[in-house]
Amino acid sequence: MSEEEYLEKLVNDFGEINGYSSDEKNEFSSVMKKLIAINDNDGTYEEIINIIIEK
Amino acid sequence: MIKSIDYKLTKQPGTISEEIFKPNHNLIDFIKNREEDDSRILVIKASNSSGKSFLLNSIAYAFKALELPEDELSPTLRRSLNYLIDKEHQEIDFEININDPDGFKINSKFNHLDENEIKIIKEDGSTEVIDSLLFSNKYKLLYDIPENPLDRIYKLLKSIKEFNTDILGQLNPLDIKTRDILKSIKDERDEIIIEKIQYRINSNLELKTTNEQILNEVKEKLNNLVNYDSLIKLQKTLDNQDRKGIDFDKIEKELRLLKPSSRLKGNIDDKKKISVLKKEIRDLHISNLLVYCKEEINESSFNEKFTNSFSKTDTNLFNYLFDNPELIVNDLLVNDIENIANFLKGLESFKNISLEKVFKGLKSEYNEFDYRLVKDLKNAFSKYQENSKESEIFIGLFDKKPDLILEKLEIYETKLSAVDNLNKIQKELSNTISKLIVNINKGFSLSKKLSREITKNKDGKNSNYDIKLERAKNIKESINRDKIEIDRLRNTLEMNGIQLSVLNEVNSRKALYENLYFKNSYCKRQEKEQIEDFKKEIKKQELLLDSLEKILLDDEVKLKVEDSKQSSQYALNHREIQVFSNKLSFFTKYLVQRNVLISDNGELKSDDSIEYKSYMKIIGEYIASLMGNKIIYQDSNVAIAYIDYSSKTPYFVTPENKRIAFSDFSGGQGSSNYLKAKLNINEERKFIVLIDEIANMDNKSLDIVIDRLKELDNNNKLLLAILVEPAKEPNTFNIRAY
Repeated sequence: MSEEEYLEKLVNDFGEINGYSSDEKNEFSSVMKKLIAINDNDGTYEEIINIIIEK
Repeated sequence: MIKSIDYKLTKQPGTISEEIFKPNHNLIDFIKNREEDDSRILVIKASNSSGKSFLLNSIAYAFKALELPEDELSPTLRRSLNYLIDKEHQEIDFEININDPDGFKINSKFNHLDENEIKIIKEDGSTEVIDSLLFSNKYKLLYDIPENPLDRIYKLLKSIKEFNTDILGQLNPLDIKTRDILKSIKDERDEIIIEKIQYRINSNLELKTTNEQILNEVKEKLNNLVNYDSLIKLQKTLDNQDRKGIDFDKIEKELRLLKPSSRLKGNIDDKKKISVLKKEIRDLHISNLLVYCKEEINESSFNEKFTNSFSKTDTNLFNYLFDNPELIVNDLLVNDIENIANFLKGLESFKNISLEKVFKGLKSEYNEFDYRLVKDLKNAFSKYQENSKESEIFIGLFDKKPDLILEKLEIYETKLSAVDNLNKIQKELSNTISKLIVNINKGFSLSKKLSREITKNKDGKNSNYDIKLERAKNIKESINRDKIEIDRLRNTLEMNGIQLSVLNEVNSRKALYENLYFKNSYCKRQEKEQIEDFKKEIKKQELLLDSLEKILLDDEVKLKVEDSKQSSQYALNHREIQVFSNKLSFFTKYLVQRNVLISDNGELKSDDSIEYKSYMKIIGEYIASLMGNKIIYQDSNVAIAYIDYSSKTPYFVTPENKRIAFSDFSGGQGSSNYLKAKLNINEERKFIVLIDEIANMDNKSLDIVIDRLKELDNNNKLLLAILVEPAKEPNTFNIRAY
């Protein structure tokens, strides 16, 4: 299991506990991963907003 | 692959015990002969004291093993390394060159002159010295001697703790940033907020209109009641005035027939005394108290019962006492002793005989003793219920539950509460009549003084004339007071919207009275209470309207402020960002809570609550994956799905749900499984693997470790791996390459 897969499983568990739908879990996981990736390069507010609203 | 290796070990330097050691010639030959071979995995099998552990220690020290965290280097190996560099004991000059898979060379050396450095030699020949931090960012040194391997499998959880901490290190700043973004957007124009304020303003305007209507309706009803009351008073005062006018005309006629007494002109002081005494008599409010008594009887809900219970004598007495409340005042003002005495006698009789008889009769209908019993029982049951529920004594005494008994008692209490009302009226009437008797007696005493003042300057022969003259004066004064009262009542009515012309005519007054009587019929005989209720309601509504007005003013300002804000394209997405930010915060909290389950040294804290069960499975799957989802068990490869950490003894769980306890493993299998997990294929750095004492591994277990090393090598993730095992035969130093 890669670290990314581990994170995926955490999101899935978190989503189950909070009653998220499958789409909602995927969407949250994908946005979070993208944000973590750009944050490594110190993403700007604009980049962050665009990732959240574009989904 | 190792390009070259050289060392000189001087033991007990400068002593008679000094000994010098050089690399084993087998090792030098192996490196020389395999110059073109790029094998990075070496297994050395050598006899004791052949220098194999010294070789591993030296390479480990050269690659900064002593700077590894406490839990990444066993105490045994750390002791060995410290012994290695103890100059009192030995001196070492060591150098190793290795080809990195990425094309450059890495050179590391240390010597007895305290030189200790790692260099990168690039393909163009240039060199760069790298410090410990840079080195540890590029290479992961795994220097191990398998000890208690099963315990250490358990502690692989530490890698999860580190990874969780890593994720949290990324999530926390992200969480802060998204909240910062939200804060900035909040200062922008938000149509939803504007809409909300507008909606609130509209709702409050509607509420205001509704409350204003309620207030107007209540005010109108209050006006009708006040007007009704004022109109009745006006009519009574007009009637009184008429009657007094007739009385005055009659006395005037009588006076004309009498001979006026000779009189001396009274001085100003006497006139003042007379005036003060008259005022004192009037200030006893005897006529008001009489009016109050009459109304209390006539307007009470028991009026019909009063009327029916009164005998003819009682009714005559009632009319005599209360029909013309001014008469007794006039008698006092002219000191009509006989009338005053008769009036007092009448009052005593009405109070002690007529009323007593009527109330006794009325109360007998309700049985006051029943009422007292019901009240006492209700209090007792209420207290019982507060303190002791479901008592066996209660169940033994009564066949109903306390709730049902209380319900029944409340019905009886309401029915019998008329007794309370009757007692209240009786008490009020009795007190008022007692006060009347006291005041009339006081008035009688003042009346005597007044009479003396009036007659002291007269000859006393014509007292009948003087009495009539005084009566006439009093009536005139009373008529004047009535006029003032009439004007006041007309003003009140006019201010409450009644035209004065309506009040001038008897018929129009009668029509108005009937109209108001009809309008106020909903609260017949409760007019006074209703007036008080309406006044309270008006006060309440006015307060409500006041606060609504303030909220409206505030909201109008807020609306102006919000409406004047500029909008950016991101404000439209405020909600989406808010929702994501909330989720991110909750997820961060979720991970923090789970991370706490693993201690800093990799111990799992026991928590068998359901909400953590799913996470236990995730970490079990993760550790299983670190081991390639395969373990060696009873000489076979066994596939594993996850590790079940929920019990005291952890289990490997196969995809078929077969369970193998940690404690069922041999040491060799455990070492192999542990090492495989440590050689994590997902590690981004290149490995330098140095394993001492692999003797307890059978061939199968060793093959698994070698396979994982090869996998790392194929992925350019291996710089060097040396595994060492002892040989039983003396003077042996064999090297196998993989």
